[in-house]
Amino acid sequence: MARIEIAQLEKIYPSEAHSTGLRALDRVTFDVADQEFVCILGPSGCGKSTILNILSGLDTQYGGEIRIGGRPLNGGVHDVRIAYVFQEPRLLPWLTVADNLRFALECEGVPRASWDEQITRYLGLVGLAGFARAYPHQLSGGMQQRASIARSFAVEPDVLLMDEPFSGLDEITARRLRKELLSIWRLTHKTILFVTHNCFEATFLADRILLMSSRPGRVYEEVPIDLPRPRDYDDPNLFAVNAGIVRNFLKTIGEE
Amino acid sequence: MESAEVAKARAGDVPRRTSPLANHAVQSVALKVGSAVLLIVVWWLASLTLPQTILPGPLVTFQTLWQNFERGLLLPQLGITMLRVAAGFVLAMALGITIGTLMGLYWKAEAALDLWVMVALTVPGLCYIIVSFMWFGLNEWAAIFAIAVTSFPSIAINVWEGVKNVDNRLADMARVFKASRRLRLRRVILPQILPYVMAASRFGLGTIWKVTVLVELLGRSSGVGYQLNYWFQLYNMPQVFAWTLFFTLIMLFLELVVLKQAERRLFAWRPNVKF
Repeated sequence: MARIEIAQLEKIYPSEAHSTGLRALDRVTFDVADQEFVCILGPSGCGKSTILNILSGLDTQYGGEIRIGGRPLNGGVHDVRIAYVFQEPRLLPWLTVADNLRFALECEGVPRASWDEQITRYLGLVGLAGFARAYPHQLSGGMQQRASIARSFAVEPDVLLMDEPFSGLDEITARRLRKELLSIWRLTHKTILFVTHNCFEATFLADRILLMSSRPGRVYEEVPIDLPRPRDYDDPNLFAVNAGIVRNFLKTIGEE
Repeated sequence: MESAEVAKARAGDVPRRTSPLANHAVQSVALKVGSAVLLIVVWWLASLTLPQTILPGPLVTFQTLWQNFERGLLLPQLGITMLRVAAGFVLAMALGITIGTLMGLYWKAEAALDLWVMVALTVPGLCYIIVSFMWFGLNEWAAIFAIAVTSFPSIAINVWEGVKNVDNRLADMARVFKASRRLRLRRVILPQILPYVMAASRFGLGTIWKVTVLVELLGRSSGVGYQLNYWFQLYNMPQVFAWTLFFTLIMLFLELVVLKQAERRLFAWRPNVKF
């Protein structure tokens, strides 16, 4: 069960301006159910990437309780497999696309016998079937990001963390990748926690949106998105739901 | 008003593809060969104006070189020198890469060592050579030790810079995929410092050749450096030039055939810089 439970998560940076330190995260509490697609929607700098860094084990200085798959996240080491898609592709430039996937599989200790099959499968799913032997610099930004997504899926994680993976791309490519992401998600039943500052993206993708405010970073509202899947960009219902989210979001930013 | 070229193109008179010389590889070789020929010509002209004991011309030099070769003197001496160079190179690289990597990865190592690496860099090679011969005697180990100690600081500094320039985001990515420390070092950090190691090895090799010849001159009785000193004592300039030329040719060969090919293979994945 790849369930995420976060209780009273705190992150404080020492600060010269504030005697009690800068509260990047203030008693953040939320859950992500197994196989759920949850978006964290917040303005830049609200601490949403910090949450992912803590969950992935990159940041071990925090307060509060975190459980993944029912087991506590002690200092970043645990048994549940977590994959992370960053804002930049972060592919190793001296390896081909296929070798980049092999690298991740090797790091995670996946048995060698299944490598070729998994690489073929996931490169196919993201539409990079013919590019296994290309180097990253030979690919466009969108293709590099697809390779990065394929890499994260190839290790077959229980939980997938995504930090604004499409924000660096043009809208057309981003739309295509969002649809591809949803179809892979439906095929592979992962738990996904997706961070973004784009309201429309959150409404389109999520089962549930967690709205965050910044300074201090806090989840102040949860909005379930009950629209049926597959969702359509031109659906007026989607537009209406999104309008509500945007109003809510702007109100929060306005208050700062 | 239409330009002449546009008018011609419109009439179907499109210029043919430019000649093969536009190809960069060919141009590059042509430039190198051209500059070599120019150098030899300048050398020859200068040698006409000065006595042979000061500036022997290219013909005399090549003749002497050829005679040495026929008498079987060239290759054994070169072999001895190259062995020393190779041993010194391996030792210098091992020392330099280890120290440079430690300094780049751990701030404590950097704080402790950076001063001493700079000092080691500025001490004249001559001091290391003399001290080494005095401590260990006039033998092969002293020679190799002196060579390595003289040349490792510049290698260490290059590698240190390379490690500090490593992209942390890639290391983070590897950590998220649960890569062990060893795996991260070998597969993420080392490939990124390889260009710096390459530059350092080129630089280091240049220094090592010079130091080796000096070491041979001071404390050994074989090798290219010894030969240079021997003929210098006899005021035989053609021989001095012949040995220097021979040395240069070997270095050129190593650079063009060995190092450049290695570089091409190792960095095939790099896109060309455009500016």
